[in-house]
Amino acid sequence: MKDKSKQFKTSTLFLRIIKLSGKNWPLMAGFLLCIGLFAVFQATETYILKDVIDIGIVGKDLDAVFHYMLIYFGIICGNAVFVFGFILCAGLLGERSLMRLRRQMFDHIMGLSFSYFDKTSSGWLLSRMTSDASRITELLTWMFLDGVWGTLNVTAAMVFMFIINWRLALLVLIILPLLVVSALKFKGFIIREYRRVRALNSKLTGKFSETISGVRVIKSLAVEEKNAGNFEETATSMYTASYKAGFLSALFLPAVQLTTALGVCIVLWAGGFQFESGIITVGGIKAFISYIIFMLWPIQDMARVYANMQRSLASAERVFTLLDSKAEIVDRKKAVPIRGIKGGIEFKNVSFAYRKDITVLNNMSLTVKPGEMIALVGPTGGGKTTITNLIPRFYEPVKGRILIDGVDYCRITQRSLQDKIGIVLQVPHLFSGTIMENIRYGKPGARESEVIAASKQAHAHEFIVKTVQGYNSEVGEGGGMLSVGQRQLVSIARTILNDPDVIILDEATSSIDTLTEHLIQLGLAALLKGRTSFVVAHRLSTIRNADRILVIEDGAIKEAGSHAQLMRRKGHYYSLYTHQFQDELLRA
Amino acid sequence: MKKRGSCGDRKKRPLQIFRTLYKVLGMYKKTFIFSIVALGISVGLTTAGNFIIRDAVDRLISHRVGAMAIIGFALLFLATALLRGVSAFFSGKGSARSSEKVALSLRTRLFMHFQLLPFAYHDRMQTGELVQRATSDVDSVRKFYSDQVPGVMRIVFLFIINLAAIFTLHWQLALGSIVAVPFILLLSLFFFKRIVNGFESYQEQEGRLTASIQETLTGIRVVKAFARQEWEAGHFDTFNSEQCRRGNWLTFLHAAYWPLSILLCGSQFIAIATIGAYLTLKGDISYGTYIAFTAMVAAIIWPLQELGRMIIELSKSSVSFFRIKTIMDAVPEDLEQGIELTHKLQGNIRFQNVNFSYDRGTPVLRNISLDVCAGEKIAVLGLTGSGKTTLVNLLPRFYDPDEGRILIDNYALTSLTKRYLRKNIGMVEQEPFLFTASIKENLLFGTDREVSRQEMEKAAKMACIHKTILSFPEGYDTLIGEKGVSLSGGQRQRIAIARTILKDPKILVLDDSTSAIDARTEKKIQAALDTLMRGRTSFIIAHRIETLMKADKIIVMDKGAIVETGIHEELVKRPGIYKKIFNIQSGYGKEKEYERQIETV
Repeated sequence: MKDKSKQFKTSTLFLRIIKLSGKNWPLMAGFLLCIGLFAVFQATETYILKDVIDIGIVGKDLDAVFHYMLIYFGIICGNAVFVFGFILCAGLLGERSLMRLRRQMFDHIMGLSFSYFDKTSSGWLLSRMTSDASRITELLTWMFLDGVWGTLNVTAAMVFMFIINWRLALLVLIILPLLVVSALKFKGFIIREYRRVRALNSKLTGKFSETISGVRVIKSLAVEEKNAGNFEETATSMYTASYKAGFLSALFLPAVQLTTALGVCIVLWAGGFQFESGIITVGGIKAFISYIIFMLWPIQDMARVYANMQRSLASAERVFTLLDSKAEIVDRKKAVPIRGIKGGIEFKNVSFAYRKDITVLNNMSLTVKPGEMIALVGPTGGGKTTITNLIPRFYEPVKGRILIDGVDYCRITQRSLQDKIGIVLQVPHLFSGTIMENIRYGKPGARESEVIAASKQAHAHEFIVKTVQGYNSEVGEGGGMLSVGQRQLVSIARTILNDPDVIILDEATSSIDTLTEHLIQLGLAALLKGRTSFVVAHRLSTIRNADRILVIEDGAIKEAGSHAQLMRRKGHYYSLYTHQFQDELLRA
Repeated sequence: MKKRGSCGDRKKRPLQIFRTLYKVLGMYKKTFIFSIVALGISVGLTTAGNFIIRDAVDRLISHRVGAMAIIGFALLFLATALLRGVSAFFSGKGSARSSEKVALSLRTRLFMHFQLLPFAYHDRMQTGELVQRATSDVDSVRKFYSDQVPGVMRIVFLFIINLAAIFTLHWQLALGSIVAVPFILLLSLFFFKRIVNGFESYQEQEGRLTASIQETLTGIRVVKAFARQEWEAGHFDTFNSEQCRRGNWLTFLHAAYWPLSILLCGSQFIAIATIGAYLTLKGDISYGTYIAFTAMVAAIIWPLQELGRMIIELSKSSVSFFRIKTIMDAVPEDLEQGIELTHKLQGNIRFQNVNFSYDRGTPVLRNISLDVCAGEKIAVLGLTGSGKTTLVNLLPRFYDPDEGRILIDNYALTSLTKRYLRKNIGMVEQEPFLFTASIKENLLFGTDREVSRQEMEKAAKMACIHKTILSFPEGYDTLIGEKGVSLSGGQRQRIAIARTILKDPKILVLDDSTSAIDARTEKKIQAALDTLMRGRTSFIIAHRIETLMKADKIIVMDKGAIVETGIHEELVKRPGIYKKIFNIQSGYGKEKEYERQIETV
């Protein structure tokens, strides 16, 4: 998928991310306060231990030892409270913001037009709502937390060092930048390596899934070794890259620790001199050593936090691009809802193109009387589906008008129009849940008796009551626990319950067992009866029942008429018929 | 779909699991052991550093050394640090090497294994699941060696070495330092068991949420068609807020654990540091000892907070390994078993009373007997599900018959190696699978020999695809697939035909269903196929009488049995399926009759 995100200023991104906390800003303030106090208290611990040594032990004062240890315990208790505070605040904030952000994205996506979904794969949208959303909230919580903790920790340690002995502290201040710069550079290097590993890893995953899905061809060509050779190349380069990254990581920590050790070494030496002249105490030296070791963690971690932040910002860019995208089809200002579609539907010189350069429908006109059944036939890509997409205004004509009951349908609200048009898809889409819930989808709040009546009309009742849990049987994801034919029956019942005035039906091509097929035909007959309908037809029997057959090819109506009329003409329909329906004729 | 390893695997005792995972290291056992030893050394050297500081402090305070001499200690400290760094580096390098090697070998073995697993296995398993075994599960195993074992061992070393060191200083103090250890461990195991489970349940809910979003997105047409956006939003909210709830539970667990463990560890530290201070004041231990001691106690206690998490994670990643093992235990096909002829097959084929069923279920082929001479063209006709495809799938031994046998050139199929057999049979499928690679690579994929550019182009010309290929920007080097051009069904089929021409097999299987292709392309493909079939024993699964009429023998299948055999002229005279099809295709039955009436009028 190409990256189509807009460019945002980093400050804008940060501002918008912070705004995501919304009403939960006290939580944000809470965790920032707690983590700040925690960092300062942690640094104080070391300072207290210094006093224990200097005043208590070296000063031979047991009471002072107890005194300072008590303070130390107080600090530990305080730390426990702060840790509790920041985990709770940041955790709650993270979960709530994530939930809010996802809801916001969901609502936004629901409002987008069909053209958007044609251009954007559902996988792309899914990643925005899942991984990107969580990365953004991670930035809002844990990354801010890491950043604040690290900064305050190092600062507080430095302040205490200056309080203890400013000369030594200055010395430390000199090695500090060395540590920071080398750590950042080095870690940056490692992070780049890991990025390469990730890229190789997805390549490897691709190879696996290609080989597994193509295993039949590989076997029939007997090229297992050759293919494995190809794979081994990628696998080996993956090994090399990850080993290199691992090698560098193995080098990184010791290197940083060594720099710290150098610092400790300097402190020991210089401290030794100062001790002689009484400028520094034993406890002071120990505190310095502790502080230096202590500062190691936030510093060596800086680069990781920074890299993660970059990734989160990239996620934020994509998410905000999605949230900023506008629906293509919106209700006109004076659009009114309709109660029903009683009259006919008229296409007036309608042209349509999904993309500007490729015309799919060309200046098409068509008048459909109320209650008429129109069968659309023709080759794939001819424009049948486009016609069925235009009627419920999933798309609008580029040129020309579509009139519903004599009114340009752009003057009608989308929701009210779509509610009056029922659509039965080729591979019907059911949602996970029970059969009852799925049929009720057609009319939320429908009584159980209504649902049963609808499914009886659809001839679905029979198979439903035969299932173990009847109407309460789960249909599984996408309806996967039902056969295609059963799904079809449920979706017919759903549409009957919805009671639309116009039906758009994309007939199934897949083979369904004869009995179910028969039920579907009965169900469809009930559904289509008395309603205006457009059927993308694949079955001879359906086509024969149609009031009018339209042969759609190259974006235009090539032929129109009844079955007998068209057969006699021996044109497009005739050749289509002879090719397509042979199997069906055979079975008959 | 199979779930995680069988129950037996889970009941394995930890020791057995470790033994198995140790064996997986293979030739990298030494590297791994070395890395763990180096880890121990580096921990030991850190402790040694504390002793140096102890001596330095003691001598400073007792003024037994001058300030100049302290540089000796400083340098000694630096030297230990250097050594520690070196051993830490070797430890990291060793575990990186052994873990990555294990991952590499698991991946390559799995890859080959997938290719060798029989058709029946792949029929049962979903691609996504197998891919997951080879990616995320392998990665879990890798982490076991690279992070988890070293992580646990580091904490264990810290504990043992520092405790031993404190023992040498003052044994009562040593005992006193670990009073809280069992409690810390219990606390951390108690919480992390819940945290890890809570995290899994959080992930599970995330999975459910993802599935629900995906369902809504793929069903967006239905949502819009029924104008049910609000209803969907409500549905989404239930998933979304459930995840929030589980996330909050996880937050709560963390918020409870960490303060408690800080209090516990902190109290232990303060208590023992106070006692230590008292002993120092009493003169039992020196100042330096006290400083070294507090540092070592800290090194024992604080890392224990993480131990619970690591142990739980360790046990989880062994599950990954046993999932991989279940796949590795499935029996692959043996491509080498049997004999290989030095010459190419001629293509005489005989089916003798062949019966076949998938998984011993309903019979798919019933008592098939058939004789085919080299170079003959056999057309197979029948409705969907009549067993046509199964019949031809027996030839390259994708499946073996339950009963009866198949002979090629008088060799029983089972006496030849599968590799040899498959090299001699070419298959062109209805929807051919091409690889994400250049067109050239795809064309040459089925051949072992060197193919000249000329020969390749000749094959492409024969398959009527040469011109199309040249029209692409990079000609034969054009990439196919996601990153390259996307080909139409007809183009893919012709490339597959060219690929088979280059493979040059003596036996050919064509699935000639061209329903989804427009008439012009169909003619081209037909011409390409005609060229391909010349001089080869060919099986054509056909639907058109036009194609069938030219066959040397036509067999009509129904419900797994051959119901009619013969040539066109014979079959058309007999009543049966063939005649019915012929009538429909040539005369269009009653419609034709109807038209004739009109014409005569």
